[in-house]
Amino acid sequence: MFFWNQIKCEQTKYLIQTYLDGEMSQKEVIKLTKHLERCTPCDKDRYVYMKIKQSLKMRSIQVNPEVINSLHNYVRRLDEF
Amino acid sequence: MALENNQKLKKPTFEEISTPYLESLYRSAWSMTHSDADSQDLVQETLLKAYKAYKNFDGRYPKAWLLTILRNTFINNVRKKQAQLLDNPDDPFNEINLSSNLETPEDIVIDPLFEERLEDSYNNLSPDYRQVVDLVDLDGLSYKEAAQKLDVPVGTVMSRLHRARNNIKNQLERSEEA
Repeated sequence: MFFWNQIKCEQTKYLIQTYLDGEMSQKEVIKLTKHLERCTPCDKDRYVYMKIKQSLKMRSIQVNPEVINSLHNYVRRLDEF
Repeated sequence: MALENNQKLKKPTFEEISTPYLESLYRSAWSMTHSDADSQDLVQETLLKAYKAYKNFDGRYPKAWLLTILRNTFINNVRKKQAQLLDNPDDPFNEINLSSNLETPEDIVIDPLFEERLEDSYNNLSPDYRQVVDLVDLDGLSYKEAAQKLDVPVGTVMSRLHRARNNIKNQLERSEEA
C-alpha cells in the first residue's frame, strides 16, 4: 500500500520532470500520482512543467514552406469572401 | 501634431498583420491537432474569424490576438465534437472518448502569452542548459541518448535538464509577478 506523503514536496520538482520525460518506472509513477492527487501545489507545478515541455516541443515542429504559401494565398483570397 | 499624424496613419491590411505569424499559427495548431490536414483547417478557420473581426481589432499585439483566436477556435471545436458524441450514445467510439477525458482542451493548448514569455526564458538559458533542452525536449532523445551525444554521464544530463527547466519556471513566475 502506498501513502500519498511517501514522497516529500521538495522531491517532486525533480520527479515530475522525470515522469514527463517518460523516464520513470511504473512503481515510481504510482507513488508520484498518489502524491499529486492530494497535493495541490505540487499538482500545479506538474501543470507548469507540462506546459513548458509542450511549448519547447512546439519549437521543433517542422513547417513545410508550401503550407505557409498556401495559407498566405488563403489570406489574400479572404477579400473575395 | 505628432498625434494628428499618427491618427492619420493608415491601418495595416489584414494580410500585412497576419502574414508574419502564419508559421507560429501553424506550429501552435500542429501542437494541438498533431495532423497536417487538421492544422491547416484550424489555421484557415482562425484566419477567417480574425479577418471578420479585424475592423474591431485595435492593432496591438497581433500575434497574441491571432493565437488567442486559434486557441479558442480549437477549444470550441473539441467541445462541439464532445457534445456530438454525447448526443449519440450508440456510437461505438463513445465509450473510448468519454473515458479518455484525462486531458481537457485547455490542457492541450498553449496560452499565447505563456509562449512568448517562454521564448524569452529559453533564450536566457546558458548554452550548456539550452543544449540539453534541445536534445531532450525538441529532438525527443532519452536521457541516455543525450548523454551519449554530449559524452557526459546520464546524471549530468538530468541535472542540467532539471536546472534548465527550473530556471525557465522561475523566470516565468517572475515575469508573471512583474
